[in-house]
Amino acid sequence: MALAMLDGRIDYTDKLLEMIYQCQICGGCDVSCKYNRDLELVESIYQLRIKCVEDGQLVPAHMLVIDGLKKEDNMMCSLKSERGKWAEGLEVKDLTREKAEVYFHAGCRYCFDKELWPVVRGAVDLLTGAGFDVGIMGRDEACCGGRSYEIGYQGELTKYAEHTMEMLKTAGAKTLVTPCSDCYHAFKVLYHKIGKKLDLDVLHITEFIDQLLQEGKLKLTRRVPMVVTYHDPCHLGRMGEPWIPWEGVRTKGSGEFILHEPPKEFRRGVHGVYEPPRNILKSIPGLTFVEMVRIKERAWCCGAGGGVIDAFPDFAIWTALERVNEARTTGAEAIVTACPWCKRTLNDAVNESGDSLHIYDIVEILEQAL
Amino acid sequence: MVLERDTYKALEDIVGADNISEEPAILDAYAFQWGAASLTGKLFAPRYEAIALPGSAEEVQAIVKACNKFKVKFKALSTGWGYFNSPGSEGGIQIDLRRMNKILEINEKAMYAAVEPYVISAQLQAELMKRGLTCNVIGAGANTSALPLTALMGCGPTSVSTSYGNRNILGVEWVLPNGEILRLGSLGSGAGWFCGDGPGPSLRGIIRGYKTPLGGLGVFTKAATKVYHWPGTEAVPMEGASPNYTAKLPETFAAHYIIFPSWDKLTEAGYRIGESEIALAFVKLSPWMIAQNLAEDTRAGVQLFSEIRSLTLPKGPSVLVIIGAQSQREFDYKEKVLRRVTSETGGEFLSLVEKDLTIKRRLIWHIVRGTASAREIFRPMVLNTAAFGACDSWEFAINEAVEGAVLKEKYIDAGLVVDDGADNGWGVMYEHGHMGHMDQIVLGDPTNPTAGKGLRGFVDESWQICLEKACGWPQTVMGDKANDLFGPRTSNYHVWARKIKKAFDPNGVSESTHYVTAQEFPEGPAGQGERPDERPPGAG
Repeated sequence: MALAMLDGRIDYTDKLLEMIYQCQICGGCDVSCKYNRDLELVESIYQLRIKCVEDGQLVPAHMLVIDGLKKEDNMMCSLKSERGKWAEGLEVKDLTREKAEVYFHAGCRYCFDKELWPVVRGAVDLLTGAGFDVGIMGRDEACCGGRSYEIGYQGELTKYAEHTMEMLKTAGAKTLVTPCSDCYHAFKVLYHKIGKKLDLDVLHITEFIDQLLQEGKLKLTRRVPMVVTYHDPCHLGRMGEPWIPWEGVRTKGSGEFILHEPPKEFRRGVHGVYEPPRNILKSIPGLTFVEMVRIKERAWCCGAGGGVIDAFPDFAIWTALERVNEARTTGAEAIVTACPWCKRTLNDAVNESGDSLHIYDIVEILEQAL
Repeated sequence: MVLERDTYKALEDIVGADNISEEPAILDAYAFQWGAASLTGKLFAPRYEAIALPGSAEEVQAIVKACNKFKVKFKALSTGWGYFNSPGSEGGIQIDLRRMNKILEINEKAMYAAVEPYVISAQLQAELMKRGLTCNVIGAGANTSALPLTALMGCGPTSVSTSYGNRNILGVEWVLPNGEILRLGSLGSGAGWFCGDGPGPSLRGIIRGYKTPLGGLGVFTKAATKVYHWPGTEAVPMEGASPNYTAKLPETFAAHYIIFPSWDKLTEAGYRIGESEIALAFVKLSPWMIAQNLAEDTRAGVQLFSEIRSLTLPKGPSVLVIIGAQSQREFDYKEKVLRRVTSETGGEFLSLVEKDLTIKRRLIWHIVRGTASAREIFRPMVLNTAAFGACDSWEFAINEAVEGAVLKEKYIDAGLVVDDGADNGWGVMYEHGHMGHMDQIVLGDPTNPTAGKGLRGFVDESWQICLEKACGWPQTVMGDKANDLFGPRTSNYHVWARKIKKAFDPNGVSESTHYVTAQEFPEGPAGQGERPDERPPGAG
C-alpha cells in the first residue's frame, strides 16, 4: 500500500486510513521477517503514518487524542491538573521541588485509569519500602510521546523527549523506573532513535525488582498458590530491545543487492526484557508458572498498541481475546503482564467475554508474596 | 475498472460485506507482485476489480456461478506466491481462499492428510510431526499452501523422500469453471480421500501434470495429500536466537555438504544415494545457496559465499544430503552407505559443515521445514527467476544445471545478473528414484531495469537451449505463446489443453492467461503469432 501511495496509484480513503491505523505496530511482522530478511518493516509503518499526518490524514478518534495531548500533555483525554491524583497520600518525594535517586514515571494510562491505581501505588510502595530514594513528578509528569509517534506525530516525540530531558536535569535522578511498557519503549528506544538518549539508566519496574531479588534486597515470603502464565508486552519485549544506532549508506553488492556500509546490526527483538518478569514469577513461593506457545519475540499482541485501543476498540478486544484463549490452553488461572495497556485490554476482553481468567499486573502478584 | 453494481451485490450477498472489497488500496495490495518486474518492468501486475473471500466450497461455487451469469472472469489464489495469481489484463475478481484454512483430516494409518487451500505446509507439517509423519514442503517455502494442486511444480527439498505435487494428490474437491462441484478419486464415490484415481472419476491428468493449471481451470477447494514417515521427535525444541535459531534434533540426524569432482560423478552419486534409500533430503545446493542459508544477513552471506566458492570451485558441483533415522543402528547404516558412495565417486565433505553440529542442525531444519529458499533467493531483496526445470531423469536434470550455468556466465560477464557463481542450479530427486528436477536460479534487482532485461533475456535463451538441445519442457512455460512454442515439440499437448479448456470452461470465465486460453492462433507458425507473452518468474 505504501508503495502504491508513493507511486501515486492510490489516494487516501477512509478505508485506507482504517487499514493503516488498525495496525498495533506490535513488531511481530518485523521480527518474523528479520529471521530471513534484511528489512525494517516497522520503520515502513512509522513512516507511512508520519506521511499521513503530514498530509493531514487521521482517523477521528486519534484527532481527539492528539488534541488532548497538545492541550493536557496526556493521551487519555484527561485534565493535566488531575495527573497527580493517583499518588495522593503516598510517601514519595516530589521531584519538582526535591531531588531523588530514582525517578518513578507512572505514564498516562496509570495516571488516569483509576482502576489501575493500586498497581502504580503498589509499585511506589515497593520501591520506597525497599529503601530507595524515589521521587515522582506528580501533576507535572508529562506524556512520554511514544504513542503519538506511533500515530505519526514525530514532532510530539521530540517535544516530549526534550521536555523529559529538561525536567530530569533538575531532578538529580540517576535511574528512571517506569511500570509502563509503552513509556519504557519511548524512553529507552525511541528517544535514542531520534538522538535524544536520556543521560540516566532507564529501567522497567520488572528489571528493577529483578535486580532487588537477585541482590537479596527484596524477600518474598508469602505463598501465592496460583497457576499463572505471562503475557509479554510488545513494547517491553521485542520492541523494547535497545536501539542500535547505525549511520551509513546502502550500497549495491555484486551490482544488484543492497548492502549496508558499514555493516548494520539489525534489531531482531531477541534482546527485549524477557527474563526479569519470568525471574520474578519464578521467585514467588507457591506460584506455578506456565508458558504460552507464543512468547518473547514471538508473543501475540494484547491489541492496544499503535493507537488501536483509541480508534478501533472492538478490534483491540478481539485481539486480546485471541490471547486470552491461548492463555486458557495452558491451564493457567491468571494472566500476568507488565503494562497498563495490556492489563486494561486483556481485562476488558475477559469482562466482555465472561471468561473466568484473572488479569494481574506483575506488581499485584508481587505484593501478594511480600 | 469497476464491477457492475448488480455483480458486486450478488457477490456481496454470497460472502457478506466484510469479505469482499473493491477498495483501490486492497486491489493494489493484491496487484503488488515482485515477479512482475522481469516481465513488465513494473512491480504491480494488472488489478482485479474486486477481491472476494469465500469461507466454504459452497461459497466458491456460488461465486463461480455468479461469474458465469454475469460473464465476469475469476481466478482463485491460495497463499498467493507468484505472478500467475494475477490476471493478464485489468478486470475480473480474485477469489482469495485464505478463510479456507482448516486441516480436515489426518489419517495416520492410510497416511494422508486432507486440507483446505489456505492450510500452509508449516502448519500441516507441525501437526503431522506430532504423529510421526511429515509432508512435502515445496521449494518456495513453508508458508505456501499444503494443497498439492497450487504450486507450480510442487517439488521441495525433501522430495527424495516425500515426492512432489503431481504424485502426492489423492482425493480432490474441484469447483469447475461452470460452477459444478466435482469430486475426484475415491472421494467421488464417497469412499474417502485415500486414492486419487478411484473408485470414482480420475481426472488427475487434467487437473495437473507436471504443473498445475495456475488458476485457469476452476477452483480446487479441498484435497488430500500423501504423507510420509518422520524419523524425528513429535516436537523439536528451538535453541538460540534469531536469526540463528537451531533445532534441537536427535543425534540420529545429520547433514552433509558433498563436493564432487565432476558433474558425472554427482550424477552417479545421486543415483546410488537414491537407490539406497538413505536420504531424508537430497538437494543440489549451490555454494551461493548454502552460504546464504548459514549467514545471518546478506552481507555475511556474500562473504561466506566467497569463502565456500574458493573451496568448491576448483573441485566441482555439490549437494546437501540429510539423513534422519529412528535408531542409532539405522543411522549408522545410512551414514556408512553415504560415506561409501561419496568415497567411491570421489566426493569430499565440506569441513565447514562437518565440524559444526550447530550448522548441521540449522541446515537440517531449514531444509526439512522449507525455510531455506527465503534466505537463498529472497533475502538479498532481489528479483529472481528459475529457468529450465523440466521433470525428467536425474541425469537430465544435471544436464540442465550445466547448460544453465554456461548460459548464465554470459549474463554475469555482461553485468546483467548477480554473480552467484553461475552454477546456482537448485535440484532434487524424487522418491529415492531416478527422476529429478533442476531449475537455474537467476537473481537481479527488481528496481533495476537492466536486471529485468537480463532475467528476461536469460529465460528467452534458456527456451532456445531447451528446444535446440532437448533440455526438456521448462517450468517457465506459461500462457499461449510459450505453450504454442513447446506444444508442437511435445506431442501437441497444447491442442489438447485448449480442447480441455473449452470443454470445462464454456463461458471462458476462469481467467487463464498464465495457463492456456481457448483462443486459437491460426495466423502464423507456432510461436510467431500475436499471442500474450507470459513468462512469469518464480521458484518452487
